[in-house]
Amino acid sequence: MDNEQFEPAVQSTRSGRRTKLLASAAVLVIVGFAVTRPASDTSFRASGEPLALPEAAELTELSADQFEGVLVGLHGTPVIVNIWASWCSPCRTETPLLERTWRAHGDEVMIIGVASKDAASRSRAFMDEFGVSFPNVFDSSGEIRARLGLRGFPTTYVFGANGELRTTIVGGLTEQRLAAVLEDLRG
Amino acid sequence: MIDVGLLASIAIVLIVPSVFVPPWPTSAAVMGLFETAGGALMIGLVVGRLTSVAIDDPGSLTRISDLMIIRSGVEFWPGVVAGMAWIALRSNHDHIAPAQRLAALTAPALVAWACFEATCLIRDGCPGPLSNVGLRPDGLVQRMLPVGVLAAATAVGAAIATRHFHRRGMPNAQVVALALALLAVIRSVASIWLPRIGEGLTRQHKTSLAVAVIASASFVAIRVLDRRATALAER
Repeated sequence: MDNEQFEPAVQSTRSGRRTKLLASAAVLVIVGFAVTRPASDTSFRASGEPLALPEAAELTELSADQFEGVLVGLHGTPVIVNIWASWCSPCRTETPLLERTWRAHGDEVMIIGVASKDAASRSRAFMDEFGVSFPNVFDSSGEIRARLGLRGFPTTYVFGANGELRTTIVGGLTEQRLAAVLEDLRG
Repeated sequence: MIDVGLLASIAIVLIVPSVFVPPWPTSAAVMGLFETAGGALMIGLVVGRLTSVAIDDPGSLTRISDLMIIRSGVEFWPGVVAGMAWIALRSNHDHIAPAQRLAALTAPALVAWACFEATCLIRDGCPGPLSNVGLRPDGLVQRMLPVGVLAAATAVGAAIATRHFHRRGMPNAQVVALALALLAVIRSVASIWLPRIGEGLTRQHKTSLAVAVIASASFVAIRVLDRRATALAER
């Protein structure tokens, strides 16, 4: 192969223009498909009697009503709820991020993990492996994930200080995404 | 669960650079280009993902399902090095100087990276510092300066500059060093404004700074050596 093969020809051709047109159309279709994704459902609002937050670093079993009570009790503080399981691959990446966030910003935002669709012993081992120190609850019946309308593992729900659900992030968190959420909550 | 935003981003990265590259002389050349650039992209992704998992969660290195979730993190610079090594190996196989082929592919590669950065618009929105003139990332309430879009625009400028210097006869190795230095500087500057957890520089920021220093030093060294060689030849 000589150098000419990696140097573009100067003369434009009709097939070249057709390729560009088709490629542009393909990009438009892809962008259109991506931007018309349905927005996340933010209709959930916790209700009921306020309950005390479970002990940090513990894995306390709660019903869906009790979990809503915990959220009500936290009104006045932004809350990030992360639903996870020990078998979930992206959870392994985002748990250290959540732990770092808790250590760096735990005084301004509450983080609650919800272990669901998992064995309690495995969830506990997962928390020990990553040295999780933020509060976690165990959703043995699956009621909590059903009430929050979970679509896949992991999912993160971001509540404003007034208790409204601001956004739902389905899938793994990145540092940038999580930090942007924090910026947004602060602003 | 299909990550539509990420799939769309990858598709655009593959399609758009080919739109802005003029027609290639023969179909064999087009196949050679796709084989080389596509291979570099794949190798880069695999090495970048493996590096990320090895650093953050070595226990997952043996689990294919964990490795395949590229959204969880891909180390950029190890991926770039691996992609460049692939291109160099292919060049040797085809009896072409590696620097010659790497230099020819720098501009399309910069455009491809710019496309990926710009597609933050269809992934989660483009985060950055809070700003009244910015965009509102997906699901957030505040407006933010779209750092990814600004980085993409700068990278396109870098692609135009490197192609310009290449066409004006800058040595191939120097073109490659220039492109790497520009890319590393863009990523370093973008890292200042990108949101992060806690204080201190992120890993991506530190590695980009290191690459910026090494690539800039290489650029200067190649220039000095080239001038000396020219002076010796003229004597």
